[in-house]
Formats: sequence, structure tokens, C-alpha cells
Amino acid sequence: MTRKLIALNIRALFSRMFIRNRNQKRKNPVILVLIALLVIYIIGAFMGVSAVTFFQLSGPLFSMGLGWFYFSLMGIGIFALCFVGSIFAAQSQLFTAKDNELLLSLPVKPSAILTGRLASLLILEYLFDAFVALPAFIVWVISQPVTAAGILFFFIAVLALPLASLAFASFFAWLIALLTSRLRNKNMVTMVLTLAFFVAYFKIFSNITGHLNQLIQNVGQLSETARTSLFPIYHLGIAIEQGNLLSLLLFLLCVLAPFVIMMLILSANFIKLATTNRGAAKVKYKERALKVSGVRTAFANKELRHFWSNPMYILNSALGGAFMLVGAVALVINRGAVLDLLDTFNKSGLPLSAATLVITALCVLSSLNSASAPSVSLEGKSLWIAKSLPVLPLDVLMAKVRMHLTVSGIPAVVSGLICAIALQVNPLEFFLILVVPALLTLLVALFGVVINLQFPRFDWLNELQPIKQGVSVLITMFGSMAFMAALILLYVFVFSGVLTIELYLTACAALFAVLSGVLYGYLKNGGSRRFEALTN
Amino acid sequence: MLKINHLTKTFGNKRAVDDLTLHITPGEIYGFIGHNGAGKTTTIKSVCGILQFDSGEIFVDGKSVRADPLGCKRSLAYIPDNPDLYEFLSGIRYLNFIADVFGVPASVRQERIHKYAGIFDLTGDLAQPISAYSHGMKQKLAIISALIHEPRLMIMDEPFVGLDPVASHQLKKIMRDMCNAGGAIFFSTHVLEVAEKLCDKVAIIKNGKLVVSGTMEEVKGNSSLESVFLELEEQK
Repeated sequence: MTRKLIALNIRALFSRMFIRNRNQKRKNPVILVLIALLVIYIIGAFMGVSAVTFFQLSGPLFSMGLGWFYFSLMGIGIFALCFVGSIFAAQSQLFTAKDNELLLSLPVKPSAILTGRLASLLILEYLFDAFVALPAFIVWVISQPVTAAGILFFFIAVLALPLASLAFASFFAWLIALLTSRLRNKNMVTMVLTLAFFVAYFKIFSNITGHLNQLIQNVGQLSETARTSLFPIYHLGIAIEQGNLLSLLLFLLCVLAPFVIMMLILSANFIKLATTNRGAAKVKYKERALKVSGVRTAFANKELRHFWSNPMYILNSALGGAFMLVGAVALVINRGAVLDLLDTFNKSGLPLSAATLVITALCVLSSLNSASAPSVSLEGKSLWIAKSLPVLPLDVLMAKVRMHLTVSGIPAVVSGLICAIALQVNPLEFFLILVVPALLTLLVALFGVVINLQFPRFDWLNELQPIKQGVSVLITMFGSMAFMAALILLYVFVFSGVLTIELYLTACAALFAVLSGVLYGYLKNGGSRRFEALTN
Repeated sequence: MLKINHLTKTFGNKRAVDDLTLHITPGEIYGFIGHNGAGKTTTIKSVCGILQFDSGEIFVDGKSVRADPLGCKRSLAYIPDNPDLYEFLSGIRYLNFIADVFGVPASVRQERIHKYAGIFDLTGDLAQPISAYSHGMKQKLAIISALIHEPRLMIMDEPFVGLDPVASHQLKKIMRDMCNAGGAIFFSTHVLEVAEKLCDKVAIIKNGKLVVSGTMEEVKGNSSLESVFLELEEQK
């Protein structure tokens, strides 16, 4: 039974990315290939960054006799990635799973349910573990002499470490579940934490080389801190570097202890934790005048409310808009530095106007937004509403486009205006700054809906599935980014000697407008028919 | 009010509805009965424009579902078997959204929401997000939203599931009042006692085919609807 539950939970964690309805049961092989390429790319990128980092660290650390610190840093990396990567999964699997009550009603031991959930989380952690451990291992084996005991202890350590991160992730997940249990918008805490993670991530990775240099320069002091304050991590390093059995046992004791404690606490309280439903504070209805809208506005407002109701939808689909506004404000504050940078570019023979920089940045950020891409799938089981109401399919679909334009187009225009005024560009550049990103946003919005019509999925249990794992989101996001990259490369390598940048940007705007017209035409005809034929 | 002529709908190789013909006139409460998977929901969804059908014709208030889907949808209201509503909206926002779509004037929608939310004891919960509603509350909200534009034809799929006895009684009363005012109701149910007491006419469907239809007296004669239904189900 435990094995079946583990399989079930893994299936839930990596849930289906493909259409499953009564008419289409087979997975599309083209999409499978695309997904495989994407997964390879993501894994390659992650492992590549890890490998480069460890490669930069290995030389100085081993030559200074601080090889153990190399493994300690690896341990910290594994712990951090596993912890951050599994905390929300732990929350949804352990404390807010919708099938807890169903499973508890079946002749299944609560311990089997708990074991099934923890095992699937652990497998998830091992995936994150591999992103750090494998590159660290390869760099270590290639660049340094290794011993059999060292290799054995390495694998024991990297297999044991996620147990500790799982224990801490479970504890924090419980805290989040407790904190959010009486909030009306339960995902708000999730959004704040995710935003904090993003900020930390960008802060660290925007200057990774600087941080590494700083780390290497202060390695003596840092290693001493690790030795005295991070006792388990120190012994992890010693165990692997010196093949020290005692250190390994001490390390294992340190990682197993929190896991065992967590298991004991959860085992004793699982039924209580799994069935606690405190419910949100009730809002009393007061009758007041209702706002009247037209059909199109009503649907557009409905889409917007859906968007704003789910912080994870915002984070996953419209972060580019937030970055646009932050970037515009940063540009106003650092106007002098930006102009100096452009001057440097110009002097080095790389002509780049302020307007071009702003337009490129806004377009790249706009291509990151995919708010419309999961919007058809998000109709889910309530698809019947839009289909049974007296409204044209085109209006339903265009409401999704309007929502995208609101959350991505408005930031693009506002940011463009701020940047254009701050940089005092000429009228043509002013026009291009406003029009090019806005038209690209329209194109991406339409593209997202069109793609989602081709790859809808209504069988989700949690909205995060279509938002984060939907094929349409992947295709829209990576398709838009690839399209942007192609346009940039096309100018750099083909048109830079033929067209002025202003003319090229005007041509791009015209291209965006034409493509938008084509996609709108599709939505009006074939897309509408496809929507009418959708069933959940 | 509702004419279903030779309706056929297939899913793959399975004929979910096979050459079904039913006519419902104004003032009638028409019950639609059948075993699970008989084709009731498929028929209902085809009438409401949710499912596209293979052949046949459906007319709502004289308008063809194929030729004038919007005109048909303006005349009818649909309550599904499972009230999957927009969980991210509050009850009042959902009702206002539906009123917007049907173009119900502000004062009229206000008055109807006040009236029906009061009848179904949902007024105090209208500010709550629908995600916080129980199944019964969602069902009540779906019913109120269906009544907000005073449809001429109401199509309901198992409308009494999840309703408490008071709400169930109120719904039956509203159904009768609506038909007395010239409207019509077509609804599916597994509760044969309710159908027997409430319906003017009834149709029994089996494996997608209409087995029997007519007035309640014509269909059940001197026995109960349950006996007739069970007898028909036993026949191969």
C-alpha cells in the first residue's frame, strides 16, 4: 500500500502536462520532444552553473588545504536548494492535501499515508540534490585525487543530507500552513516568501563572480566559522575529504536526528494536522449598489479577478511586468550611470542608444509574461459557465487577452513613459518606446490564448498545474523568448549594416501588428470554433 | 418552448444519445429520467450549447441552437449536476457577473438577488468567496444565478442534490410558479418520488434512446413511476 501511495504522490507532484479528455488520450510526441528538450536545457543550465561555481572554488580551496570546505559549501548548497525547492510541496502534500480525508477513510494506516507523502517529497529533494551534488562530484573527481572511502562517504552524505532539509522544510511548511489557515487569501504568504526568494536569488546571481571572489578572499575566516558554528557541515567536509568515518557518523547523526524527530512528531499528530480545517474569517455581506458592466467588461473583470486572486499566478505569469516598473524606477535613480554605460558602449564601437536599450529590455521582460497562456485551461470545471452563457466565444477569449494586456501591457507603457521622459529621447524614439513593447505584449497575449486553445487541460486539481506545468505556458514563454532572441540576433548579424535601428524597430512593430492581426483573425474564426468544441 | 428533434451525439464509438426527440411546451415541468450514463447530461448539455451534437436539431423558444446559439442561451438558464462556479469570486460578484452577461438592469438585479438570496437563506454568505461555500451553498448560488434574468426555460441536471429540505421545497415552489407564469422546466433526476409529484410530463431514456415519454399518468398508469422505471430497466 505504501508503494502505491508513493507512486500516487509522485504522480501528483509531477502531474500530467498533457491533455487528458475523453476525445484525446494520447500524448503528443512533438510536445514530448519539446518538453524533453526543455528539461534537458533546464537541467543543463542548472548543472552548468553549479559546475562552473565548483570549478572556480576547487582550485583555491584544495590548494589552501581547505578541501573539506569545498564539500561543506556543497552541503550548504544542497540543503538550501532542497529546502527552498520542497517547502511548498511539503505544505501541499502534508498539510493541505485535498485527499487526506479520503485516504484516512480508507483501510490505510495513517503511517502509510505519511510515509508515502514523505517518500515522494524525498524523491523531489533528491532531484534538487543532484543539481548540486553531481557537478560537485564531477569537478572533484576530475580536478583532485580521490579515495574510495571519500567517494563512498560522498554518496552516503549526499543521500543523507536531504533527510535534514526535508525535516526543516516540513517544519516550515507546517508554520506556513498554520499562518495561512485563517487568511482569506491563503497564498499571500506563499507569494511574499517566493518574492523574497526571487530577490535573494537575483541578488546572489547578479554578482556571482564577485561573491565567489569574496568567498575565496575570506575563505580562512569563513571556513573557521563553518568549523566552529556549522558543526555538521564541517564534519561532512572532513568525512569526504579525509575519508574520516567518525566525522561521517557525526554528520549522519546530525542529519538523521531532525528527521527522526520530525517523523515522530508527524506520526503522532498526522490525523489531527491532516484534518484540521480552521476556515477563513467570515465576511458579513452588506447590501450595496452593484456596479453594472457590459458583457465584455464583465468577462475581462472576471479574468482579472481570477489573476489577482492567485499570487502564484501573478508570480509565474507577470513577474516581467513588475521587473519593468522596478527597472524604470532604477533607471531614473541611476540615470547617470546608465548614460555612462551607453557612452562606454558607443566608444567601444558598439552603438547602442538609450531608446534601443529601453525597448529591448521592455520587450524581453514582456516576453517573460505568460498570463494569457494558462487562461483557457484555468476555466477548468467551470468551463460550462462561459459555454452556457449568451456570449460569443471571441469575447470570452479576448477577455483573456485584455487581462494579459492589463497586467503586462500597462506596466510596459508606464515603464516606457518613465524611461522615455528620464532619458529625454527624441519624438521618434519616444513613439517607438511606447509602441514596440506594447505591440509585442499584444502579440504575446494573443499567442498565449491561441496556444492554450491547442493544448488545454481541464483535469487539474490545483490551479498551479496549468499555471506552472502547462504545455501552453512553456510554449508561450519559451516561444516568445526565442522570438525575441531571434529578432535581436537578426539585427546584430544581418540588418545592423543595412537598416538604422529606428527603421528596424519600426519594422518589428509592423511585424508584431501583422502577426497580432493574424492571431486575432484565428481567434475570431478557428479559435472560436475550437473553444465551442472544448469539453472538460 | 424546447424542441429536441432526432438528437444524436457520439463519443468515439459510443452513441451517448441516439435519435432522441422530445417536445416541451410552455407551462410544463418535464422530468428526464434514466440510469447513470443513459445520456441525460449529454442531452442537457447539447440543449444548453455546451456540447456540440452530431445530428438532429434543437429549438429553444423557436430559435435553433445551431443557427442562433446566443438567442437560445438568452432564453434559458442552466444548472449543472455539479455546481463548479468561479471559486475566486464572492457569491455577490458571481451573481453580478451573471446579471452583467444577461444585461439585467441594476435595480432589477438588486431586487432579485435580495429576493432569491433571502428565499435560499444565502444573504449572509454572499460576501464570502465561493471557494468557502459548501456543496449545498454552491447549488443555491447556481440556482439564484439561473433565476436572475428570469429565463423562459430552465434546464437543470439533478437540481436537488445537496439542497437541504427547506431549499428543496423552495426550489419546487419556484419551479411551479415559473411554469404557471408561462415558463418551462426540463430537469433530470434520480429521485423518482420528486419527479412523480412535481412533473407534468416525464421521459425515460435508456442507453441513449428514448424508451417512453408522456404525461405522468400516461407513463405510470396505476403503478408508481419507480415500478415503471425498474420494469423498463430490466427489459433488455
